Amino acid sequence: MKTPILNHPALPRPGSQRFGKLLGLGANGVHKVVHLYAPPALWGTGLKKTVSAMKEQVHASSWLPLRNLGAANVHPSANIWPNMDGPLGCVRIFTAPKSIIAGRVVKDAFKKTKVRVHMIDYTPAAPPTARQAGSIIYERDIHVWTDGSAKDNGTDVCTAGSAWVSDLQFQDAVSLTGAVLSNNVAEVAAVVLCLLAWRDAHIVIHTDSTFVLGLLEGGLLAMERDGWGDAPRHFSRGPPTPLLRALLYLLRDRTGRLRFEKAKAHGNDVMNNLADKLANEGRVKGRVLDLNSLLVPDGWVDTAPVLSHQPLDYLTKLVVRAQVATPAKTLKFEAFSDRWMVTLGRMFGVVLDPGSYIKEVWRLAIPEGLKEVLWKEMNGAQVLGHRYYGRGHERSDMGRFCPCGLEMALGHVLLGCDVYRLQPLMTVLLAALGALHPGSSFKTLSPDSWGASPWYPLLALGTLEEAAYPIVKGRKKILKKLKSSRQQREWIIGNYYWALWKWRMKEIHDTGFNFVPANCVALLRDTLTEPVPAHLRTQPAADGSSVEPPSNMPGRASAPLLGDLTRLPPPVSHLLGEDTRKRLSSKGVSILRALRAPIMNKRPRHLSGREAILRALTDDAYA
Amino acid sequence: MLSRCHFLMDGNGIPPYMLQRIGNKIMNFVRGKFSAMAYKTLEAPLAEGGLNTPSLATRKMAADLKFLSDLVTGDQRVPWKQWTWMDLKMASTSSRAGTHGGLNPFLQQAYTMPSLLQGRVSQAFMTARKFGLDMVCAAPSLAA
Repeated sequence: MKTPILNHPALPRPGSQRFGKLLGLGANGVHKVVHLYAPPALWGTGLKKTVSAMKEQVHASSWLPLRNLGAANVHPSANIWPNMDGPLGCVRIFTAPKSIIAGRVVKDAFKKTKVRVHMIDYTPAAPPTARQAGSIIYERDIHVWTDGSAKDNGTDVCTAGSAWVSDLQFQDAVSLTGAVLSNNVAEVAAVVLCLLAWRDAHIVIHTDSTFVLGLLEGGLLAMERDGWGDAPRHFSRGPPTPLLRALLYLLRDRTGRLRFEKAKAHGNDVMNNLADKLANEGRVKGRVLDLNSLLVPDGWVDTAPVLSHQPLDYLTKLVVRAQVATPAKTLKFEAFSDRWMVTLGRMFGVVLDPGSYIKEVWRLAIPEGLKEVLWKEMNGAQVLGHRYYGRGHERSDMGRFCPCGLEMALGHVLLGCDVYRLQPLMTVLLAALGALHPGSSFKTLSPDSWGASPWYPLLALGTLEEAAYPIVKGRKKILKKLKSSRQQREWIIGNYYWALWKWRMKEIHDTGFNFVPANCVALLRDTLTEPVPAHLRTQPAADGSSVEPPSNMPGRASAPLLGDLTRLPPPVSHLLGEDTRKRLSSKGVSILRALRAPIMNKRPRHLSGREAILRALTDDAYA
Repeated sequence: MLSRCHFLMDGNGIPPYMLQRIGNKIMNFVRGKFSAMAYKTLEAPLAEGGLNTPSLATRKMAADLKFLSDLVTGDQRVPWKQWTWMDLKMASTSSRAGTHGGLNPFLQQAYTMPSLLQGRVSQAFMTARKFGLDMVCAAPSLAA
């Protein structure tokens, strides 16, 4: 008896009791063991083949991917993809925990001596999608015609729409956004829309797009095999992979029959012409469909990159992305992310992913100093309010509490209060913005209606305008005009906020300076009319991607911001008599500080700053 | 200096303790000893709030993956690739209790002993394992 044949992982260990029983039953090979274990019903051709293959492999006692390479070694039934040399082309890295081919993490994976590395799990991690209860069941095949429409195809200002029409008089049309649009994107989106609408029905899709048919005839699977292009979308403006992944997922997650037929474009096909017309209408006035909102459940589409043919730079990026939690994704930004998403959702009716926009603060055409201020505000590191601990001079409390009594915060500084009435300055800002778009009243052009955190929309002006601008006649022209002036508007609004911030901070830290909004109108007007500095302008690159500002951009000190603050006129001096002014000047006391003196003097020591100021205001001391 | 580090990482596989010591020197120089910011933050891309300065440890992982990428790419009849595959095979077995070695094509799993691998292969194998990849049983067998 050849013991090595029985020394098989699926069999009992040599020397064990069960092993002895097998020997007693006359088992002299694996095939005998299988015959002993398997019921007679399974003794068919398939079992014989299995046993034969098993014997061969066990005799060889080895298996490596290397042995399966080359066309000569590939079995016809192995279904290796065309043009693939061997299964090593499928090897992937950074597989997600719930991916179909991901290995389960085992506890002893980091033992130094013997390591049980992987148990490959072929079960999809996600359960089948729950179907809508009560949907109508159609017995026959439903014919659906899909079409996409794009204008200014291949350019940055391309607009696209998608539509489908069925022979049951159901139809749908949308206007696309959220990706680099083209006619092919619109065609694919039309099929995705159709599959979303008819999840369980037996349908026949008529499309006039050769691109779509190419995807269905292996193109999609080839993209999945190759890791979805040369670079993921996070690194470059590649193909619209979320849309393609959604298409592959919808094709896999179906219970009904599905068939595709080629329709002749712009021919005599009435339904196709109707779909074409609908797609055009959808492009102009259809409901908006954000392509980034198409989510694919885990485990249905393999999104991990392949290992073969990868350069070192790309692998380094992958390692960093897998290992480093970027500042924008840390817990520090969590509170801001929630507030930002909810605020914009209420204000504009658009739900945006904060993670994609937090980093955009560094690309805005706003003063460099304001970028730092906003970044600190986002991650909760702004030294204001309860975080302020100024020392060394009397007015340090202004960093903690505003003279109006409320706790200091960036939103409070930018919005103003009863003590700092910013209406004159806001009028200047609105006039500057209105000069760019006379007669327009969209929310992004009215910072006075931006609520308690007025700088929130600044992070996503473009997306908000594209997604939330009402559907009116000439919408496309308006959006084009808004897009052309976006940087100038960012610069104007940013300069306004930066001016407010600098004036308030100067007042906190400089005892000889007082900020009176009404006296700063002229200075602000001059500031807001300045053009966007060249180093902040984003130039479109040849491939359509944006170019970051050069790294040697001037710092806050050298940036042309607000001019000399010493040019400010003495505040409210005209309210006082000549004698009073001389008396105060001789004592070195600022005039506005003297005006506010009753507030500060009346503060009892046992009260907190906020309570004292509120009490002083109640006593009409300031008035 | 970085080119020398690359040589150490790619040639024979730099020992982990040595990599850590050199990495710490660089870290202290770049960030300073008393900074509260995590060094990982510096590694993040510029657009996401970092400084795009991958650490030596990160570069070493990328170099290990590059070694494996070269292994699975192109003609497999090259001697070093065949030798590497055989090295992996000799250190692997499908059965935890198996003593005679060998990989069973039906089980599609491997118990690999990194200590039996040659130094460069061992480090690449350990790095790949961190990222969910087992080179020995990553590709399906024909029998399975």
